Amino acid sequence: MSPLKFIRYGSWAAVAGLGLLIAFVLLTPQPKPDQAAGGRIGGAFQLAQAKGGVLDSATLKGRPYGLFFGFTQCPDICPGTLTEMTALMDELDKGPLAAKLKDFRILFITVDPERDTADLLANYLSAFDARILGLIPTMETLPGLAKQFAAFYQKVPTSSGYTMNHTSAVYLFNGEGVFSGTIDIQESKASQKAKLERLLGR
Amino acid sequence: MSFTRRAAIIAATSTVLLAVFAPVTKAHSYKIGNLEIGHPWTRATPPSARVAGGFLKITNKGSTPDRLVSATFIGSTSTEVHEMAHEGSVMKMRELPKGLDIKPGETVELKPGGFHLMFIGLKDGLKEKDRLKGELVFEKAGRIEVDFAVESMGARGGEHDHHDHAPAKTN
Repeated sequence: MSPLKFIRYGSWAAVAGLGLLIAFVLLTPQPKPDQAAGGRIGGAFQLAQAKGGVLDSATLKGRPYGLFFGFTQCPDICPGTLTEMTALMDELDKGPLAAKLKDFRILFITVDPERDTADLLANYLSAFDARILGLIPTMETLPGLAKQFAAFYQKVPTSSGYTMNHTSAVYLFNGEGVFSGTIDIQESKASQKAKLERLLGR
Repeated sequence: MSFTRRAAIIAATSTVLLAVFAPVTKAHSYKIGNLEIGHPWTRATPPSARVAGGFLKITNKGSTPDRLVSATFIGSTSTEVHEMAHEGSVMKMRELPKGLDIKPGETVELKPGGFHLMFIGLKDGLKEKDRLKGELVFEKAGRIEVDFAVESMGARGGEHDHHDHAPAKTN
Protein backbone atom coordinates (compact mmCIF):
# COMPACT_ATOMS: atom_id res chain seq x y z
CA MET A 1 0.00 0.00 0.00
CA SER A 2 1.41 3.45 -0.93
CA PRO A 3 1.88 5.91 1.93
CA LEU A 4 -0.74 8.20 0.37
CA LYS A 5 -3.35 5.42 0.27
CA PHE A 6 -2.45 4.49 3.82
CA ILE A 7 -3.12 8.05 4.97
CA ARG A 8 -6.38 8.20 2.98
CA TYR A 9 -7.72 4.93 4.43
CA GLY A 10 -6.50 5.90 7.86
CA SER A 11 -8.36 9.20 7.68
CA TRP A 12 -11.57 7.52 6.59
CA ALA A 13 -11.23 5.02 9.44
CA ALA A 14 -10.76 7.89 11.87
CA VAL A 15 -13.86 9.65 10.50
CA ALA A 16 -15.89 6.45 10.79
CA GLY A 17 -14.64 5.90 14.35
CA LEU A 18 -15.53 9.45 15.32
CA GLY A 19 -18.98 9.03 13.72
CA LEU A 20 -19.58 5.88 15.74
CA LEU A 21 -18.48 7.61 18.92
CA ILE A 22 -20.82 10.55 18.29
CA ALA A 23 -23.69 8.17 17.49
CA PHE A 24 -22.98 6.25 20.68
CA VAL A 25 -22.99 9.40 22.80
CA LEU A 26 -26.18 10.67 21.17
CA LEU A 27 -28.03 7.36 21.36
CA THR A 28 -27.15 6.47 24.94
CA PRO A 29 -30.14 7.38 27.13
CA GLN A 30 -29.22 10.57 28.93
CA PRO A 31 -31.99 11.96 31.09
CA LYS A 32 -30.30 11.21 34.38
CA PRO A 33 -31.67 13.84 36.72
CA ASP A 34 -28.27 14.30 38.41
CA GLN A 35 -26.72 15.36 35.16
CA ALA A 36 -29.28 17.96 34.26
CA ALA A 37 -28.48 21.52 35.17
CA GLY A 38 -29.69 22.41 38.66
CA GLY A 39 -32.94 24.37 38.57
CA ARG A 40 -34.14 23.01 35.25
CA ILE A 41 -35.95 20.15 36.96
CA GLY A 42 -38.96 21.01 39.09
CA GLY A 43 -40.95 24.20 39.34
CA ALA A 44 -44.39 25.08 40.62
CA PHE A 45 -47.19 22.51 40.89
CA GLN A 46 -50.55 22.04 42.53
CA LEU A 47 -51.63 18.46 43.17
CA ALA A 48 -54.50 16.73 44.92
CA GLN A 49 -53.41 15.10 48.16
CA ALA A 50 -54.39 11.55 49.00
CA LYS A 51 -55.46 12.65 52.48
CA GLY A 52 -57.56 15.48 51.04
CA GLY A 53 -56.98 19.03 49.87
CA VAL A 54 -54.44 20.34 47.39
CA LEU A 55 -50.71 20.70 47.88
CA ASP A 56 -49.37 23.89 46.34
CA SER A 57 -45.60 23.82 45.90
CA ALA A 58 -45.53 27.45 47.10
CA THR A 59 -46.27 26.19 50.61
CA LEU A 60 -43.00 24.23 50.50
CA LYS A 61 -40.95 27.39 50.28
CA GLY A 62 -38.13 27.37 52.79
CA ARG A 63 -38.50 23.63 53.33
CA PRO A 64 -36.39 21.03 51.57
CA TYR A 65 -38.33 18.11 50.18
CA GLY A 66 -37.97 14.83 48.36
CA LEU A 67 -40.22 13.70 45.54
CA PHE A 68 -40.67 10.47 43.70
CA PHE A 69 -42.93 8.80 41.20
CA GLY A 70 -44.47 5.42 41.88
CA PHE A 71 -47.73 3.52 42.19
CA THR A 72 -49.26 1.21 44.75
CA GLN A 73 -49.41 -1.87 42.49
CA CYS A 74 -45.63 -1.92 42.46
CA PRO A 75 -44.14 -5.09 43.92
CA ASP A 76 -40.69 -3.95 44.87
CA ILE A 77 -39.23 -0.51 44.26
CA CYS A 78 -42.08 1.61 45.65
CA PRO A 79 -42.66 -0.17 48.96
CA GLY A 80 -38.88 -0.66 49.15
CA THR A 81 -38.18 3.06 48.70
CA LEU A 82 -40.95 4.04 51.13
CA THR A 83 -39.58 1.60 53.73
CA GLU A 84 -36.03 2.88 53.32
CA MET A 85 -37.04 6.53 53.47
CA THR A 86 -39.10 5.84 56.58
CA ALA A 87 -36.13 4.10 58.23
CA LEU A 88 -33.79 6.90 57.17
CA MET A 89 -36.03 9.60 58.66
CA ASP A 90 -36.40 7.53 61.85
CA GLU A 91 -32.65 7.40 62.14
CA LEU A 92 -32.10 11.10 61.47
CA ASP A 93 -34.89 11.97 63.93
CA LYS A 94 -32.54 10.77 66.65
CA GLY A 95 -29.72 13.07 65.53
CA PRO A 96 -28.91 16.79 65.35
CA LEU A 97 -31.09 17.32 62.24
CA ALA A 98 -34.29 16.27 64.03
CA ALA A 99 -35.66 19.82 64.21
CA LYS A 100 -35.10 20.45 60.49
CA LEU A 101 -36.53 17.05 59.65
CA LYS A 102 -39.88 18.00 61.19
CA ASP A 103 -40.64 20.22 58.21
CA PHE A 104 -39.18 17.84 55.66
CA ARG A 105 -41.64 16.14 53.29
CA ILE A 106 -41.38 13.37 50.76
CA LEU A 107 -43.95 13.60 47.99
CA PHE A 108 -45.07 10.32 46.49
CA ILE A 109 -46.71 11.09 43.14
CA THR A 110 -48.66 8.24 41.62
CA VAL A 111 -48.09 7.49 37.94
CA ASP A 112 -51.21 5.31 38.05
CA PRO A 113 -54.07 7.71 38.82
CA GLU A 114 -56.46 5.30 37.09
CA ARG A 115 -56.14 2.82 39.95
CA ASP A 116 -54.64 4.86 42.79
CA THR A 117 -57.62 6.63 44.28
CA ALA A 118 -57.16 9.07 47.15
CA ASP A 119 -58.48 6.67 49.79
CA LEU A 120 -56.41 3.78 48.55
CA LEU A 121 -53.20 5.80 48.39
CA ALA A 122 -53.77 7.37 51.82
CA ASN A 123 -54.40 3.95 53.33
CA TYR A 124 -51.32 2.49 51.62
CA LEU A 125 -49.10 5.29 52.88
CA SER A 126 -50.38 4.92 56.45
CA ALA A 127 -47.80 2.13 56.84
CA PHE A 128 -44.98 4.63 56.37
CA ASP A 129 -43.66 7.87 57.86
CA ALA A 130 -46.38 10.54 58.12
CA ARG A 131 -44.09 13.03 56.37
CA ILE A 132 -44.55 11.06 53.16
CA LEU A 133 -47.48 12.65 51.32
CA GLY A 134 -49.41 10.92 48.56
CA LEU A 135 -50.21 13.12 45.57
CA ILE A 136 -52.53 12.30 42.69
CA PRO A 137 -52.29 14.02 39.34
CA THR A 138 -55.06 13.54 36.78
CA MET A 139 -54.51 11.56 33.60
CA GLU A 140 -54.46 14.96 31.87
CA THR A 141 -51.88 16.64 34.13
CA LEU A 142 -49.57 13.64 34.57
CA PRO A 143 -47.69 13.96 31.24
CA GLY A 144 -46.82 17.62 31.84
CA LEU A 145 -45.85 16.93 35.42
CA ALA A 146 -43.52 14.10 34.41
CA LYS A 147 -41.92 16.38 31.82
CA GLN A 148 -41.44 19.07 34.45
CA PHE A 149 -39.39 16.60 36.51
CA ALA A 150 -37.71 14.85 33.54
CA ALA A 151 -39.39 11.69 34.80
CA PHE A 152 -40.32 8.69 32.73
CA TYR A 153 -43.42 6.54 33.08
CA GLN A 154 -45.05 4.03 30.79
CA LYS A 155 -47.93 1.62 31.00
CA VAL A 156 -46.90 -1.99 30.32
CA PRO A 157 -49.63 -4.54 29.54
CA THR A 158 -49.41 -7.96 31.22
CA SER A 159 -51.68 -10.98 30.89
CA SER A 160 -53.80 -9.96 33.87
CA GLY A 161 -53.83 -6.20 33.37
CA TYR A 162 -50.92 -3.78 33.36
CA THR A 163 -47.95 -2.60 35.33
CA MET A 164 -45.93 0.62 35.13
CA ASN A 165 -42.35 1.43 34.24
CA HIS A 166 -41.20 4.58 35.97
CA THR A 167 -38.30 6.68 37.15
CA SER A 168 -37.46 5.32 40.57
CA ALA A 169 -35.06 7.91 41.97
CA VAL A 170 -36.07 10.18 44.85
CA TYR A 171 -35.52 13.74 43.66
CA LEU A 172 -34.22 16.17 46.27
CA PHE A 173 -35.14 19.86 46.35
CA ASN A 174 -33.66 22.47 48.64
CA GLY A 175 -35.58 25.19 50.50
CA GLU A 176 -35.62 27.35 47.36
CA GLY A 177 -37.18 24.53 45.39
CA VAL A 178 -33.98 24.01 43.40
CA PHE A 179 -33.22 20.46 42.29
CA SER A 180 -30.33 19.19 44.40
CA GLY A 181 -29.67 15.62 43.24
CA THR A 182 -31.30 12.26 43.79
CA ILE A 183 -31.32 9.37 46.21
CA ASP A 184 -31.47 5.95 44.61
CA ILE A 185 -32.68 2.77 46.25
CA GLN A 186 -29.68 0.94 44.80
CA GLU A 187 -27.12 3.03 46.61
CA SER A 188 -25.85 2.26 50.10
CA LYS A 189 -27.72 3.40 53.18
CA ALA A 190 -24.68 5.47 54.18
CA SER A 191 -24.77 7.34 50.89
CA GLN A 192 -28.55 7.91 51.13
CA LYS A 193 -28.09 9.24 54.65
CA ALA A 194 -25.23 11.54 53.65
CA LYS A 195 -27.31 13.02 50.82
CA LEU A 196 -30.30 13.72 53.04
CA GLU A 197 -28.05 15.20 55.73
CA ARG A 198 -26.44 17.46 53.17
CA LEU A 199 -29.83 18.60 51.89
CA LEU A 200 -31.16 19.34 55.36
CA GLY A 201 -27.92 20.84 56.59
CA ARG A 202 -27.93 23.55 53.98
CA MET B 1 -41.30 -12.36 93.43
CA SER B 2 -37.99 -10.55 93.22
CA PHE B 3 -37.14 -8.52 90.17
CA THR B 4 -34.19 -10.72 89.22
CA ARG B 5 -36.26 -13.86 89.59
CA ARG B 6 -38.99 -12.39 87.39
CA ALA B 7 -36.39 -11.29 84.86
CA ALA B 8 -34.92 -14.78 84.85
CA ILE B 9 -38.35 -16.32 84.23
CA ILE B 10 -39.06 -13.86 81.41
CA ALA B 11 -35.67 -14.58 79.88
CA ALA B 12 -36.20 -18.33 80.12
CA THR B 13 -39.71 -18.08 78.65
CA SER B 14 -38.46 -15.88 75.82
CA THR B 15 -35.71 -18.37 75.04
CA VAL B 16 -38.21 -21.21 74.88
CA LEU B 17 -40.57 -19.14 72.70
CA LEU B 18 -37.73 -18.14 70.40
CA ALA B 19 -36.62 -21.75 70.13
CA VAL B 20 -40.17 -22.78 69.26
CA PHE B 21 -40.82 -20.02 66.73
CA ALA B 22 -37.35 -19.53 65.26
CA PRO B 23 -37.69 -22.48 62.84
CA VAL B 24 -40.70 -20.77 61.28
CA THR B 25 -38.52 -18.08 59.72
CA LYS B 26 -35.65 -20.44 58.93
CA ALA B 27 -34.58 -20.94 55.36
CA HIS B 28 -36.46 -23.79 53.75
CA SER B 29 -35.88 -25.73 50.57
CA TYR B 30 -37.47 -28.28 48.26
CA LYS B 31 -36.43 -30.79 45.63
CA ILE B 32 -38.32 -31.88 42.57
CA GLY B 33 -36.60 -34.03 39.96
CA ASN B 34 -33.29 -32.38 39.23
CA LEU B 35 -34.35 -29.02 40.60
CA GLU B 36 -33.53 -27.60 43.99
CA ILE B 37 -35.73 -24.79 45.21
CA GLY B 38 -34.38 -22.50 47.90
CA HIS B 39 -36.37 -20.43 50.36
CA PRO B 40 -39.46 -19.11 48.61
CA TRP B 41 -40.35 -15.80 50.28
CA THR B 42 -42.38 -12.69 49.86
CA ARG B 43 -42.81 -9.45 51.77
CA ALA B 44 -45.33 -8.00 54.17
CA THR B 45 -47.48 -5.47 52.31
CA PRO B 46 -48.73 -1.99 53.18
CA PRO B 47 -52.51 -1.71 53.69
CA SER B 48 -54.51 -1.64 50.44
CA ALA B 49 -51.63 -3.16 48.49
CA ARG B 50 -52.92 -5.28 45.63
CA VAL B 51 -49.62 -6.84 44.58
CA ALA B 52 -46.50 -8.41 46.05
CA GLY B 53 -43.31 -9.93 44.71
CA GLY B 54 -42.38 -13.59 45.22
CA PHE B 55 -38.75 -14.65 45.40
CA LEU B 56 -36.82 -17.93 45.44
CA LYS B 57 -33.74 -19.67 44.12
CA ILE B 58 -33.85 -22.50 41.58
CA THR B 59 -30.84 -24.70 40.87
CA ASN B 60 -30.84 -27.17 38.00
CA LYS B 61 -28.67 -30.13 39.05
CA GLY B 62 -29.56 -32.11 35.93
CA SER B 63 -28.14 -32.16 32.43
CA THR B 64 -31.18 -30.88 30.55
CA PRO B 65 -32.72 -27.42 30.58
CA ASP B 66 -35.98 -26.82 32.38
CA ARG B 67 -38.27 -23.85 32.65
CA LEU B 68 -40.39 -22.24 35.34
CA VAL B 69 -43.57 -21.96 33.31
CA SER B 70 -46.00 -20.54 35.82
CA ALA B 71 -46.87 -20.32 39.48
CA THR B 72 -49.84 -19.85 41.75
CA PHE B 73 -50.13 -18.25 45.16
CA ILE B 74 -52.94 -18.85 47.58
CA GLY B 75 -53.02 -15.18 48.60
CA SER B 76 -53.59 -13.72 45.13
CA THR B 77 -56.01 -14.13 42.24
CA SER B 78 -53.22 -14.46 39.68
CA THR B 79 -49.46 -14.87 39.48
CA GLU B 80 -47.14 -13.90 36.64
CA VAL B 81 -43.42 -14.40 36.05
CA HIS B 82 -41.80 -10.97 35.68
CA GLU B 83 -38.45 -9.44 35.06
CA MET B 84 -37.47 -6.13 36.54
CA ALA B 85 -34.48 -4.12 35.44
CA HIS B 86 -33.05 -0.71 36.12
CA GLU B 87 -32.16 1.30 33.05
CA GLY B 88 -30.40 4.32 34.41
CA SER B 89 -32.81 5.65 37.00
CA VAL B 90 -35.85 4.06 35.37
CA MET B 91 -37.38 0.89 36.78
CA LYS B 92 -38.75 -1.32 34.03
CA MET B 93 -40.91 -4.39 34.41
CA ARG B 94 -42.05 -6.91 31.90
CA GLU B 95 -43.89 -10.17 31.99
CA LEU B 96 -42.05 -13.27 30.79
CA PRO B 97 -45.01 -15.00 29.10
CA LYS B 98 -42.95 -18.12 28.34
CA GLY B 99 -41.52 -18.30 31.83
CA LEU B 100 -37.96 -18.49 32.98
CA ASP B 101 -35.25 -20.81 31.62
CA ILE B 102 -33.24 -22.82 34.13
CA LYS B 103 -30.20 -24.14 32.27
CA PRO B 104 -28.40 -27.28 33.44
CA GLY B 105 -25.91 -26.55 36.19
CA GLU B 106 -27.28 -23.05 36.69
CA THR B 107 -28.88 -21.31 39.64
CA VAL B 108 -31.50 -18.72 38.79
CA GLU B 109 -32.39 -16.36 41.58
CA LEU B 110 -35.70 -14.56 41.72
CA LYS B 111 -34.88 -11.61 43.92
CA PRO B 112 -35.71 -7.94 44.53
CA GLY B 113 -34.56 -5.86 41.58
CA GLY B 114 -34.56 -8.80 39.16
CA PHE B 115 -36.71 -11.77 38.21
CA HIS B 116 -39.71 -12.22 40.47
CA LEU B 117 -43.12 -13.74 40.71
CA MET B 118 -45.77 -11.06 40.58
CA PHE B 119 -48.67 -11.87 42.90
CA ILE B 120 -51.59 -9.88 41.51
CA GLY B 121 -54.91 -9.20 43.18
CA LEU B 122 -53.99 -9.88 46.81
CA LYS B 123 -56.98 -11.09 48.75
CA ASP B 124 -55.59 -9.86 52.07
CA GLY B 125 -52.53 -8.00 53.16
CA LEU B 126 -49.47 -10.19 53.72
CA LYS B 127 -48.29 -10.23 57.32
CA GLU B 128 -44.72 -10.73 58.41
CA LYS B 129 -43.93 -14.24 59.71
CA ASP B 130 -46.94 -15.80 57.96
CA ARG B 131 -46.39 -18.67 55.57
CA LEU B 132 -48.61 -19.01 52.53
CA LYS B 133 -48.84 -21.85 50.08
CA GLY B 134 -48.09 -21.61 46.42
CA GLU B 135 -47.32 -23.90 43.55
CA LEU B 136 -44.49 -23.77 41.03
CA VAL B 137 -44.97 -25.37 37.63
CA PHE B 138 -41.92 -26.51 35.68
CA GLU B 139 -41.99 -27.64 32.08
CA LYS B 140 -40.17 -30.93 32.76
CA ALA B 141 -39.93 -31.42 36.51
CA GLY B 142 -43.66 -30.84 36.96
CA ARG B 143 -45.55 -29.20 39.81
CA ILE B 144 -44.48 -28.67 43.37
CA GLU B 145 -46.25 -27.07 46.29
CA VAL B 146 -44.09 -24.68 48.32
CA ASP B 147 -44.53 -22.33 51.27
CA PHE B 148 -43.75 -18.66 50.81
CA ALA B 149 -42.35 -17.17 54.02
CA VAL B 150 -43.59 -13.60 54.53
CA GLU B 151 -40.65 -11.43 55.55
CA SER B 152 -40.57 -7.78 56.60
CA MET B 153 -41.82 -5.04 54.29
CA GLY B 154 -38.31 -3.79 53.65
CA ALA B 155 -36.63 -7.19 53.29
CA ARG B 156 -34.12 -7.29 50.45
CA GLY B 157 -33.39 -11.01 50.62
CA GLY B 158 -30.64 -12.89 52.39
CA GLU B 159 -32.06 -12.09 55.83
CA HIS B 160 -33.15 -15.68 56.36
CA ASP B 161 -29.53 -16.84 56.38
CA HIS B 162 -29.00 -15.55 59.88
CA HIS B 163 -32.43 -15.75 61.44
CA ASP B 164 -31.35 -18.73 63.51
CA HIS B 165 -29.08 -16.77 65.76
CA ALA B 166 -30.42 -13.25 65.32
CA PRO B 167 -32.69 -11.81 67.98
CA ALA B 168 -36.37 -11.74 67.05
CA LYS B 169 -37.38 -8.59 65.22
CA THR B 170 -39.65 -6.36 67.25
CA ASN B 171 -40.92 -4.04 64.51
